[in-house]
Amino acid sequence: MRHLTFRRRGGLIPIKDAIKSLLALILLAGFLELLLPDDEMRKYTRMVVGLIVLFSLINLVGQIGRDVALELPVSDGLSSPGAEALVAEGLNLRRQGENKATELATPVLQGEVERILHEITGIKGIKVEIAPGKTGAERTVKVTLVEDPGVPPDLVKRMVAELLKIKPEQVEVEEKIESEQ
Amino acid sequence: MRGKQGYGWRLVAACVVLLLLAIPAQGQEDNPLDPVLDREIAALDLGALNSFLSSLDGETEELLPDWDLKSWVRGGMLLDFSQLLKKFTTFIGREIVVNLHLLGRLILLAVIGGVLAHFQQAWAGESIGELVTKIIYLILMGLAIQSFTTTLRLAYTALERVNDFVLAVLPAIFTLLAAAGGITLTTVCHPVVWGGTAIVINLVKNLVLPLILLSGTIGLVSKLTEGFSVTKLAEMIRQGAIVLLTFLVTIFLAVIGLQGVTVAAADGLGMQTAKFLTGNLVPIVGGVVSDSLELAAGCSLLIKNALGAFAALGAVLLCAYPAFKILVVAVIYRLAAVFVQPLGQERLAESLQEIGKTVTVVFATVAVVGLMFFFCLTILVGLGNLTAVMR
Repeated sequence: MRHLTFRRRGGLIPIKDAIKSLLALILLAGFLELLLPDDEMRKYTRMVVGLIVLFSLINLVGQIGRDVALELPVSDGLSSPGAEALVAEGLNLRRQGENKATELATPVLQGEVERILHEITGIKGIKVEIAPGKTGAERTVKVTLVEDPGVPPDLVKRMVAELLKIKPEQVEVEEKIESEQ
Repeated sequence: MRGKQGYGWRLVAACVVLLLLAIPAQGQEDNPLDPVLDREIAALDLGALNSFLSSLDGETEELLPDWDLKSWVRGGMLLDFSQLLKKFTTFIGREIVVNLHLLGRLILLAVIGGVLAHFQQAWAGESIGELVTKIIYLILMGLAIQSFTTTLRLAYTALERVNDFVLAVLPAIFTLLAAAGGITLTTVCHPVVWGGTAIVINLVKNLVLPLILLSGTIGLVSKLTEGFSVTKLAEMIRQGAIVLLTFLVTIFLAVIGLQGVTVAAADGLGMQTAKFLTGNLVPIVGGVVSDSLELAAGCSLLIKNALGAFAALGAVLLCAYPAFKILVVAVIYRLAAVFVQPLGQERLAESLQEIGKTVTVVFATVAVVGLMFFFCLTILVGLGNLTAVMR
């Protein structure tokens, strides 16, 4: 099971605090302005407050880009699941699907091999059993000869191996030929 | 003679496929693909997605469509639009009701301000009037800060949630893409999507949203303080945030689309070659093997489409609900501005309009990120299908 963990950064918190301070400063300046008695003084106070606010704004703009960090999400300590791992997983998934599909087709394949063997040997007493759910080097086949095929069992083994594109060692031939009564 | 023999093998292979499709699966006679689909679904690692879905709160979980991969694969997109519309309408209605008190507070504030201004004109001096105005603006700023914080928190949560969701679902989608034959597609697109998602979300969270917040604050400050106007700066910052967002989303989608299109055809051709070689050069089993390959890849494609559809829909819905919550707040501020203006509170109305504008941009940011993920996932699903079409 894959679990992802993500590093969080509080990028908004410093900005929010700075904005709160800025607004508080503006309000405080506004109230102070009311306390000033002279109109001439007010003009200069406004300019000073304006300058302070301007510097605060510049500071705020500079602060925004500072916290940006292009971090990648981490997965169990790794940077990501990795494309290779995902491809391997995908191929494994498809192989499982293929195995299932082959398993479903096994009876058809058995019948086909039996038919070909019948055409070659001329007898119907050859039973082929392909182990379900296995492919390639893992596939095992059991051939039961109920009638004498007229050819050596080793030849039958090699024929079946060739038809199914597997090694002759994966084919087991069992003779159950009933003697004529 | 040899040609006839080759034709015969192909006929046998075709019969095998037909028979394979005709074999009823145990217990489920309607779809012969079911055993293969079941095997692949069982083998697929959906741990991250399931743990994400189980970690969702009740409200969000209720809004998402019911998630059962098998049902989605077999029955298509299980989405009841009437039900979704009903949920959505209820949700919007509830949000409006919840936020009506904000509208009430803002109008009350304007009415008090208007009445006090008239008193000031009648009996008191200018200083008292200014003091009253300052107190009203102090309250308004408190409300604005509260709304900014709430909407930005909503936006942050939505972005983190949709990011977590996409990162939880991406590995499964890429696994299925690889299984469906898109090996090069996975190798090329995975790092781009994975890294691009993180970069875009990081920039939106740490640059775009703070810029929007800053532009809103500067705009508000400009409206509130006399003789100190920085509206142009506020506008420039807001435009900058929007341009940055648009740029990020466009580049992200363009890179994925272009990279995907160039490799999807190669993947399709590779798969076709593998099928051709096994199907034509290996007698008897070759047909079965190539058809099994095709069947398994087709099933992976079906699962990927179902998962992709759920992911795209989930990404949109995970963003849509917080986005609409934010939109309701923006509408409330704009409505308040509409109601306040006739009361003679011009500056207050403009301030409210400014807050509404800022909150609307936050809404647009969340909506655009949601759409970006929707298009990203749709492109990935489409590219997988393109691989299948090519083979």
